[in-house]
Amino acid sequence: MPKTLIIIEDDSDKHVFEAIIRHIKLQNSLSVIDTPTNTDWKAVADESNVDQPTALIRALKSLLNDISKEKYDKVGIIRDLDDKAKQEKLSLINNALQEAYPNQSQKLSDTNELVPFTFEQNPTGTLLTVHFACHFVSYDGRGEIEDLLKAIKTKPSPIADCIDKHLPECLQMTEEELREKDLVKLWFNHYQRYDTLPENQRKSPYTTMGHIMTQRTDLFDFDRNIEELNELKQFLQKMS
Amino acid sequence: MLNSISIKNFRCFDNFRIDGFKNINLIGGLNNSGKTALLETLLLSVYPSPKTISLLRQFRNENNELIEKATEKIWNNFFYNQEKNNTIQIVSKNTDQQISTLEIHTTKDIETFLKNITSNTINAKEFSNLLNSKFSDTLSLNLKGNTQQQDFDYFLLPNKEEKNIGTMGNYPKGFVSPPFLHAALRLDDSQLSNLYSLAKENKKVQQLNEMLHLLDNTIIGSEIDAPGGEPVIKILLENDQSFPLAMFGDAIRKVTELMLILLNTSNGIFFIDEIENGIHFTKHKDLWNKLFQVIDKNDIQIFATSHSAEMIRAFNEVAYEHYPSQAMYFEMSRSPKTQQIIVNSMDMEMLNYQILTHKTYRGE
Repeated sequence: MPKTLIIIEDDSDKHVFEAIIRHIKLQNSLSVIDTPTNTDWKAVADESNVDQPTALIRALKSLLNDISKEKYDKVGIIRDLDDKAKQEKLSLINNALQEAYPNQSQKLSDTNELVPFTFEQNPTGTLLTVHFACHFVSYDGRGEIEDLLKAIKTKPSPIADCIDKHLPECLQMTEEELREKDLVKLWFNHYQRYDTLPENQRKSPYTTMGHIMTQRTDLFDFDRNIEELNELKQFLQKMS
Repeated sequence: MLNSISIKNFRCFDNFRIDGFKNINLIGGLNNSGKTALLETLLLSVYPSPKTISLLRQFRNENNELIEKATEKIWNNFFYNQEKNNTIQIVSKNTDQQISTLEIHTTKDIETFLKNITSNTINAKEFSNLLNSKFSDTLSLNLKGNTQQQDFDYFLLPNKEEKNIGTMGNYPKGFVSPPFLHAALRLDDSQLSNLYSLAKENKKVQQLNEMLHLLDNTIIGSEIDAPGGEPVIKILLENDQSFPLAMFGDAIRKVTELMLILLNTSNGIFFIDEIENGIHFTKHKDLWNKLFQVIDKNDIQIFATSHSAEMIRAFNEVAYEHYPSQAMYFEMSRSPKTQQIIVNSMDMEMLNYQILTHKTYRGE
């Protein structure tokens, strides 16, 4: 049976998306759902070169082999929005698709939209249709998955907030620099490790993303009514 | 050099085409995805003769009892879905755009052939056998086509022995069968000795010795000896002892045969089925290195099959680094919906990507 492939930026991101998929399915079916089996995940690092996103192009080219074997009928691409405009990110995806599949004329005109691409199987000539779509993760103009997770946290976070508040000041004094995306990742780490775990559990496996997103999902409210979360849920629902 | 082949109604191929062949072509894939059948088709396309047909039956261990008990079925396995009333069509193209064609069909109309007999198409012994054959109601196989700008038209009778008409194979000098390394069947001592003598005549034995030394560093050379009158190859060890090739294990015997075929196949095509069989994985890269070196100097094209991830990875490591434009990998599998055979062609960069990112490349 054809499956869905979702190309993500980092292996650990898949645990977040799988947790959201499980949450959606649980809401819909009222039964416990194990890890989704109909979705494969492939991590491809993000690239800043809009004209030549080499890693993504290679991954898409390689995907032709799986498409030929009728393995997938939907392919999703999830990227962090970072500090870029949505249109700039969209053109990065379209450039990669065009480079990988030069015979295809279709483009993704917007996020969260499934667009059919048709491929000819070799040598049978069978036409195989695969739907492509993309989604950019962000929250309130900031583009990291941790920004979104921070927005839906359920527990008090005094340690993470304190460090988050004073760290930029401290860095300024030492003339060291951290980007905003690094700071939010630090916040997330402090929240899940120091604010929400007893001292004797502040180590692996309790602190891995896989563990957090299966055993500690009460740290986040996946039902919170936030536009960016709702859009992500819609995307994942379309893909599954 | 062959560039492409299209196949209709042969073995497991109803309508199949593959192109983009390079100097060394490795074919991988699941069991029963047509790897060996593709090799056989290529062989038949290059050497379209009744002898090659007989050899293919031998390769598949087809039972000779059929000839006596069910003559009608003898050719069935060559045809897609065993539909022997169809016509097999094989068309290949080389890099100079020259086309070779081959059509095969079963027939009981031997009269047309008899009318066209000349001394060029049949020798005296074959003619004598033909006169003794009861072919009035016999289902023959007719091979007709054009290769290397020469027309041919052969009839193959379902005889147990080599009584067939037009059995000439046009194989390279020194070969009594085509340059095909079977997965299990080995050449006999006499054939190997002939190839060894020819390699020696052309001063190529050193390359065989080098390859054997890579496999086993106690081997320092080889020679031909005829202790009982029949010539046999002997392997020389560093302790001054020598043993007949037959005393060695699979790898040494197989690689000796492989190298002797290779070294005697100048300007030709060499077919290797299940290249990894018997060879330890630590020696796979050595073997590919040697193959690439030899084909480079002698204008040889190789088609090989493999199941082994280790062998495919070794092929990629050697070719990706040193011979990227001379190698191609073909992954064969079947459509989950229609069960038709499909193929993915991968250059060395793509195969390297599949391997490094743990993606599939063996038909999974």
